[in-house]
Amino acid sequence: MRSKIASLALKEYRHIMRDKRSLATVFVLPIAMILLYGYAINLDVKDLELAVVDRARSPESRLLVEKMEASGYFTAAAHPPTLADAEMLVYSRRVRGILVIPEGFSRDLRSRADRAAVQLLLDGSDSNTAGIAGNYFEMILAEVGAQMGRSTEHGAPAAPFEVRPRVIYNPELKSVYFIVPGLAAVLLMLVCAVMTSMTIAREKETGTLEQILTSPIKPYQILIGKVLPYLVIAFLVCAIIVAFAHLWFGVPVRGSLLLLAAVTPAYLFCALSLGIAISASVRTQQVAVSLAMLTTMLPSVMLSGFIFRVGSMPLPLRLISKVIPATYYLKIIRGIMLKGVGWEHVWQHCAVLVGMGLLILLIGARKFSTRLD
Amino acid sequence: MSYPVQVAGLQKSFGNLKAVDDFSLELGQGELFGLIGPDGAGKTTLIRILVGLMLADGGSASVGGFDVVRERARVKEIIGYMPQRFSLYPDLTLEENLRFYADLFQVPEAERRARQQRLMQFSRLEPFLGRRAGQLSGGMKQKLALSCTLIHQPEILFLDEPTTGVDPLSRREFWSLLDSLQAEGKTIVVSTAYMDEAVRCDRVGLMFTGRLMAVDTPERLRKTYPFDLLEVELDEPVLNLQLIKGLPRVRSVQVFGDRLHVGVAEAQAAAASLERELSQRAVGPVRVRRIEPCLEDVFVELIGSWKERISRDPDKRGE
Amino acid sequence: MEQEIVSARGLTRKFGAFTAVDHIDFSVRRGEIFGFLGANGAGKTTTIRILCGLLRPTGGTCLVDGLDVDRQAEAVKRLIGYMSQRFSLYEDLTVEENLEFYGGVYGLNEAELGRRKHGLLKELELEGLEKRMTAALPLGWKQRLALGCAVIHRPRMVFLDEPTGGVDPVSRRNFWAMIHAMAAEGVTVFVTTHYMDEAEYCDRISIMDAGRIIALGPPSKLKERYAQATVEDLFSHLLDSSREGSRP
Repeated sequence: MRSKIASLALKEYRHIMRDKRSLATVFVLPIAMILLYGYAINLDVKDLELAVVDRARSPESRLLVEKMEASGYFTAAAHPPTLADAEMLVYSRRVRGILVIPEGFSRDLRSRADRAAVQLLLDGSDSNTAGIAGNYFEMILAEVGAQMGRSTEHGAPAAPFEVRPRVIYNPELKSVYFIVPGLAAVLLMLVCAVMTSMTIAREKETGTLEQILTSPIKPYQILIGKVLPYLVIAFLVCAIIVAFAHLWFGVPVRGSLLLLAAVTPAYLFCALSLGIAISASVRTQQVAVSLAMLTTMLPSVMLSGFIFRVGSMPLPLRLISKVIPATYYLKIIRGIMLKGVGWEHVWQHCAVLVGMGLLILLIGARKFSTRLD
Repeated sequence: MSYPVQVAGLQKSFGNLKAVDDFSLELGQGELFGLIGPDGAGKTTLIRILVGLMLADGGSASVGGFDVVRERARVKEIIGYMPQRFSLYPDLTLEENLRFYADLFQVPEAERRARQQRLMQFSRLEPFLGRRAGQLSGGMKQKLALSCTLIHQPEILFLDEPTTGVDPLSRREFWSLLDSLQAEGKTIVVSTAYMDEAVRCDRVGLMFTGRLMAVDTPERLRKTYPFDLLEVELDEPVLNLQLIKGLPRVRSVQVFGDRLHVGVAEAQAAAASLERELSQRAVGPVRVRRIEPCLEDVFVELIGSWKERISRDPDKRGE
Repeated sequence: MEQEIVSARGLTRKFGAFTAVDHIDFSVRRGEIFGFLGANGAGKTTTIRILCGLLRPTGGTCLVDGLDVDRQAEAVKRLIGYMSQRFSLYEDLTVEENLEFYGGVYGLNEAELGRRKHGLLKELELEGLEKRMTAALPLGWKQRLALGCAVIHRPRMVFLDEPTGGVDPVSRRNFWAMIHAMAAEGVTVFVTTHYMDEAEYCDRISIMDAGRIIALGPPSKLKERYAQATVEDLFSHLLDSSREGSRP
């Protein structure tokens, strides 16, 4: 006995396979986007120009500047006499930040005080670069401090700088590791929602839906039948993206691929449901596609933590990010690929996604009228 | 002097399918020409080539003296084309639709009002100017579509099945519009699936498998019916169809509404034998009389026999 | 079993301020071919859609095989077949795949579906075309395929909304031969058409105008009553007088 859902899924599968051009787009587009984003959104910091205000003028301060320049991340582009002069350089965008080494720097170092202070002021108009540069600088300080610690006669074991490294994962500080798995989340959302958003709307346009609705089929059967074949396609797209991320960009896979494969359908289901719910509630393909793009692309890029840290957003945006499926999948895919976390760290996100998917599908089925009025 | 439409040896294939096959035709000035033929005969393809929407594989065609390929721009100026699914914008009002087509054809501002008024009077759509096109009835939509194709005052009209899905009263009204356009001197090519419409044309071309199989006035086409024709009235025409088909002298039987049209050899003898045979079989009261064939008899008979010939010998398509 | 398969009482459907179907009463007898005539916009398609459970009536009741089309729409859908004006076929599926899909939607099992499919391909003269892409079929064949899809689950009643629009006279005759064959097997046929000669083939016809039924009966009786020679004359006569009467 072939169930009604299976009949629908088979038909949908045939539509997909017959339309080779759309099918190719579904696979080629994500790869093109990954290439583009992987290279274009480069958050890595290189030769960041700093104005150095060295009030200490000591061997230690010179060593610090030397080390800093040797790292390749920073260059001392100017040595203005006062902080005010340095600030002018920032305003005129000749430098991206200021390093202030206070007069007491060497004394503090030698006196085994708890900490020796230096001040790094970074141009916050580019908050990402600033954040990353800050991390780099901390690393350099740690290095310098360790060297000096060894060189002091007192042989203090502790580094004289207090550096709390904030970079927990992605210690190589390669932004592509960060971006590409995130892109997978964004692209899957987009592709899934757009693919399915067209299906029911198309049948409304061609009039075939009218025919189906005169049969005793139930709305949920139509919706599930339509989602199923796309789930397979979306899964393949996801596999290609992950493989590409690993093989091309060298993004590590520290956790279990099997676990990733097991939880990914939850996200895909959620995204496909969103598309199908949109399709069920509008009349034309055009509206459906625009709506699908609007509800997936922007929120997933801006508010999911893909580029901008959710933690540093204002509360209303933080709340919105909680209802964006990509937020959860980002945690899952970055967690598994970069941190190597296990089931115990992803099951909650996974459950949220399944719940969201079911809720959206339910709303879609409610919205989907078996009548024409 | 050139013909408004002149077609010579036109060819068009889609893969293996010959949609238009060695088609030649000349239309006279002010002629109303009907194009009939079964579905897939190539009517739409022919019209699309003539209006410059498709390129022929071979042969030549000119409209208004201009070659449809080389002088396509000139052809566009003098023709009006109403495709099978004429695209009106359902969310625009009747007036806005008209204005859009006036813009499209760059009708001078000074003339617009007068033309619009005339067209609306002509099609009797004036009271509905502010109504959205999507809310018009099928017949009114077709009239509006015709008005839109007329806004740039074309000389030659190509109408592809303009009355499909339109009720009989609206169809009649639509055709009276065509009559008055013809009276203004316009040349009109119209394809139709309705034989009662084809009869109203000056000449009718019967297309089959891409070829022009017959072209003549409806009157003369009627006379090409190969048998004598009897009209048989009886209670259950459809149920007795097979019975009558098997009777002597009977060559063809077709259902025509509540009657049967029976093509026979020798009307008198056949009528007598038909009445006799049917009364013996007690199928109820039977009335048989000889009638003149109509265009639909000819169409059904000719197409039927051509189709049969093809199925017997696929290589001799309609020869 | 009762004699009437459809009975509508005071059936009404409004769209906003517009009344598409205005308190109509009619019944369709089991096994008959019922012709539904009317000008464009008279309310024919709306009525069919109500009967098929696609639209809810805003007033009145309608029973199909004893079931209320509003409250028991799902049960009604199991009994009926519907062929819309637009021949709801999937153009990118083959002839066979279209039949299989609609069979599946009605929950036919594999064996039954196979049998039914082969039977229909034969009856509809579509044998040998199973693998043809639907988009490439001439209109007359699409129409036959659409009919096949509408009856694959052996409905007791079929609704055909302008099934022969734009189809040539030969194909139309073929199509009607199939409708007659279906009726002979006991299927009730409810059909709308703009071809008045087709109306002559119906057991009974109803003529609609502006949402109301203005005449109902066997074509011969109606022609006799209004002294018209053909249904086409009858149609024009009735519509003219109906509109004459409604003018202020």
